[in-house]
Amino acid sequence: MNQTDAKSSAGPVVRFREVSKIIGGKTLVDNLTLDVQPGEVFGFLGPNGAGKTTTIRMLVGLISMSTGDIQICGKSITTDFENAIESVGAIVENPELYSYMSGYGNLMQYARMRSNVSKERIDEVVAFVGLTERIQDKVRTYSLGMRQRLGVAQAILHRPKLLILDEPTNGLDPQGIRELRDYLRALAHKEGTAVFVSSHLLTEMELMCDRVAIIQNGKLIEVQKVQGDTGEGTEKTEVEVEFEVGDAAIAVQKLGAGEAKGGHLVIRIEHSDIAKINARLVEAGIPVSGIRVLKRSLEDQFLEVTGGVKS
Amino acid sequence: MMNFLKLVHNENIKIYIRKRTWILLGILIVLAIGIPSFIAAQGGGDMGVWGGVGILMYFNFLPIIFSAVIAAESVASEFTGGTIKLLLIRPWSRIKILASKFIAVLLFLLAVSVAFFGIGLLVSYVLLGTGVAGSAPTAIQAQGIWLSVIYTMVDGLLYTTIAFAISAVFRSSMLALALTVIFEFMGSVVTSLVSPEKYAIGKYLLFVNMDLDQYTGSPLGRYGVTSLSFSLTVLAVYFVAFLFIAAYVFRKRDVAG
Repeated sequence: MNQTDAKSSAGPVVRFREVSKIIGGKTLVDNLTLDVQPGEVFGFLGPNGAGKTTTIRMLVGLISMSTGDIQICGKSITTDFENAIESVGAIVENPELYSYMSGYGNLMQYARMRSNVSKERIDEVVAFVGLTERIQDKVRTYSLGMRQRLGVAQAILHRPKLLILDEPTNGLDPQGIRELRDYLRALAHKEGTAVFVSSHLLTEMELMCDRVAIIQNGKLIEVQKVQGDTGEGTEKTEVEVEFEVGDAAIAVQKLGAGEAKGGHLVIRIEHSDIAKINARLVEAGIPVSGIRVLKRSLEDQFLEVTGGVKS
Repeated sequence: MMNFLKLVHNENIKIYIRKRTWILLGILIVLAIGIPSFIAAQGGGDMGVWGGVGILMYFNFLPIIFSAVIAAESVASEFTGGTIKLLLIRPWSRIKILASKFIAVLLFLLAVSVAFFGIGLLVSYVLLGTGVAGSAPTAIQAQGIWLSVIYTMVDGLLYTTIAFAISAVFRSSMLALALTVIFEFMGSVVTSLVSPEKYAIGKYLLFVNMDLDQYTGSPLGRYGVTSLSFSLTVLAVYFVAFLFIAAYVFRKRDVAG
C-alpha cells in the first residue's frame, strides 16, 4: 500500500489511458493516452468541437468514459471518485455560480464541502482574484470577467494538486489574462501544481504553457514542448525566412517563389538553402539588407497538424 | 457525519436565501392566522380550537403543493443554472449530494407543516378557546384533526418525494411540478379506469392508497378492499421506489451541456 502511494505521488498527476467517449455511435474522444506531470502548465489545444470539454468532463467525473481509465494522483476517477477528485480544482466551461448568492456565499458553499479551507484562506483567494471590494455583492451583478475570476477562486480555494481550467481567459481583459498567466506559471513552477488548461486560442497557449497537446476530432495529434523550444529540431528543417529587400514584389517575381509580406520577401525553404536563395537574389540584382529566420509559431504548427488553412 | 450536515446546511441556504421561499411560507402563515381570526370575528367562538383547525384543513393542499414546489426546484435548478458542474466536482459522491438535497427538502416539508398547522393551532387556541372542556365530542374532534394532520403530512411526503424524483430524473422543475399536479388529478381518472373493486391490481395503485383520511370513515377504505396498514405498506414501497429511481438516474447521468 505504502509502496504504491509513494509511486503514485512521484508519478504523473494525471494519467489518461486509452480513454474514449462514444455517444450514439459518434466518437467524441478517441483512444486518448496522455500524462500530465506535476509542476507543468499543460495546454490542451484544439478547434471548437475537437473534444476538449468532453475530455475535461471525463477527467472530473461529470461524464463516464466509454473505454479506458483516468487516474489522478494514482486514483481512478471511476472507481475511487471521492479520493481522486480530492486533489482537483476546476472550472468546466463557463463558471456558472449561484447568481442569487453573493460571491462570498458561493465560496462558502464550496468551502463547506472541504475540510481544509479556513476563513483566512477565503479572504486570501478573494484578494488574489481582486474581488475584495465586490465579494459581498450578489453574483447576478457581476460582469463576465468577475464571474470568471470567482470561478478561478473556487477552483484554487483548497490548493489542489491539479488545477483544470476550461477556456479560462474567456471574458478577461488583457490585464486579467496576463495576471492569470503569471499566476498559473508561478503556481506550477513554484508550488508544483499541475495546471491543465484548454483553449482554442493558440497564441495564448504559447505564452502560458510548458507543453501543449493538440487535439482534433477527438484524436490526440501531437504533444509538444513550447517554452524555450525554437521549433527547429533536426526533423523540422523547413523554416520560414524573411529577406529584407528593396522591392519584395519584384523579388517574388524573379525568384518564382515566396510571397511579399509587409515589404519583405517571405519564403518557406530548408534551412540549408538560405545562402543559396540569398545568392540568387543578389545575382538577380536585388540587394539583400537583412535575413531573418522566422520562428515557427505554435499557430503554424497547429494549422499544419490540423490541416487548417491560414487566412 | 459532521461534514455531511454541512452539505445539508448548504442546501438549506439555497432554499431559504430565496425570496420566493419566504413568500410561500408567508402565505401559509397568513392563512394560519387569518382563518381562525375570521372565524372569531364572525362570532364563531363556540366552535373551539378544533373547529377552527378543521376549517383550516380545507386548505391543507397548500402546504403540500408548496413543499412540492421546493422539491421540484431542488435538483432541476442546479441543472438549469449550470451550477451542477461545480457541485459535483467536490469530494462527495453523487448519492451523498442527492441525499443532502432530499433531507433539506424534507426539512422544508416540516417547516411548511409547522407554519400552517402549528401556527393555525396556536392562533385557534388563543382566539377560539378549548370549546367545552373535557366533553366527549371535543375529544373525538381533536383526535380526528390530529389524524388528519398526520395523514396530510404523509400525503405531503409522497408528493414531495414524487416531485423530487421527477426533478432529479428529468432535470426540469416545471415538468416535475406539472407531473406532480397531473398525478394528483389523474389519480381519480386512473382509479376509475382500473377500479380496485373490479380489478385486483387496482388496489396497488398509488392514488387508491393516498389520502389516508379515507380510513376515518371506513376501516376498509374508499373502495372497501384496502386497509390502513395495507395502504401504508404500499405507500412505503412507492416512496422507496421513487427514491431508488432518482438515485439510480442521478448517479449514472452524464452531466453535459
